[in-house]
Amino acid sequence: MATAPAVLDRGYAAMPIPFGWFAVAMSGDVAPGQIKTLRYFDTEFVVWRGEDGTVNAVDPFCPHLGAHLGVNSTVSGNDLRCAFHHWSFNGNGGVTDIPYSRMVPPKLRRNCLPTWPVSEADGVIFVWYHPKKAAPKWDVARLPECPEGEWVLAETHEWVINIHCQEITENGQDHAHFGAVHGVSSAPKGEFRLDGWVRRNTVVVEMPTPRGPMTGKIDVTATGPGQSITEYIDVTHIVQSQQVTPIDSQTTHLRWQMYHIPGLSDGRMRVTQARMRDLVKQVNEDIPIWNTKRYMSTPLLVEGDGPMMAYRAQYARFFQFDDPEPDSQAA
Amino acid sequence: MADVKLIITDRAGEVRNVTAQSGDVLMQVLREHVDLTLGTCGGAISCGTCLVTLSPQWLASLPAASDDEAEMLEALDAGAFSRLSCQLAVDAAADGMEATIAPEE
Repeated sequence: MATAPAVLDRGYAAMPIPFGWFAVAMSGDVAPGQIKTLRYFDTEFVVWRGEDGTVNAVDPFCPHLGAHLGVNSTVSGNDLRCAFHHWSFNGNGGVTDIPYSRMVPPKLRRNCLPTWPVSEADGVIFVWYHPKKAAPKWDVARLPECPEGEWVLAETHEWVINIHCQEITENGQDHAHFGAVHGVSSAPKGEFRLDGWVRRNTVVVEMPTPRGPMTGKIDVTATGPGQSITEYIDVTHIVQSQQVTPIDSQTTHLRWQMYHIPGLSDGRMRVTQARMRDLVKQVNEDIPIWNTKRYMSTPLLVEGDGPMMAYRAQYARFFQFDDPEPDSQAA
Repeated sequence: MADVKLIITDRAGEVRNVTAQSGDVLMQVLREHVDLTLGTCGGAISCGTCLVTLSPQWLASLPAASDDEAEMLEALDAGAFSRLSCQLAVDAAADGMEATIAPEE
């Protein structure tokens, strides 16, 4: 993986990390009774799944005497038991048991250990990150409804990319790069709408096929900075669920789950798989540029470059850490 | 700073006369003169080991317990004349009064 020489400042280290719901693990990564220490948002936290199936997330240091809750700790019922003195904590950060003490003091039964909001949806575990611990401002977005039966999960992919997460999603607004980097005609102009914390792009394309031109639709719904769900409806019907998660302000964990409708014929399945391969190939084409480019706060944009500055103006909401109001607007 | 004389009964049942200064926190007085191990949490209302039983007149002269202290006293199943000594300041009204350090459980 090519990286820039360490002496050059690419401008990402100084950027803040946006608030939002971010994927931190796949559901299968945290089995019942399993504990994991995760490193994202330039910090770390501990997650566990209790007997009841609920995933919990807490700050890493035990409030008793500071032991790391991800080291030699165990899950006890639904609670996390610290290795140092066997204090147990529930998912609300309250102490539920101190084995050597006749009771848990009332003050410790609540809010003793800071917690992170968790939401598990469509096979992905999300936590809410906000630098001032403000409460979640929206809910995790779900997959669109499948027109027939249930979506089939065909592939999952993940990458770690040396760039701030804002750039990954900005890339979709960069119309001129599609031709140069991916060899496809530049993204046709589409509708670009804001609805509170959600950004929608709808693009209608004329696609040449051996049987003549056909109309395809690409529907992108971006919810907060961390989630983007794209639906491709043409000869295939694919849903691409994407999550970008800041490891720090210069490193992003990118995850994809690719779904298609059930009951596809062999022919359509082949087209579906080819489309998925093509989409994955496009990320791999973007990566060498992402890993080495610098941030341009005042890029020299020309006609045809796409609505990147409008995207950035909207994205700036996610850096307003003191209670901004969401707004609706079209661009 | 005025002298305040207290009559303290420790966990072994021994009675001793202790002289405190007005304004001293009672738990500190007990740690200094009677038992250094009292109050493991240092006054955070989270251990209950500084529990004392006071003479009724002393109790009546004290400000009411905070919500945190009241909750702790209830959790300890403390008797009616009990307070957490980490929350009490000694003053002139306590002069000549009696306190008993609650037994360890």
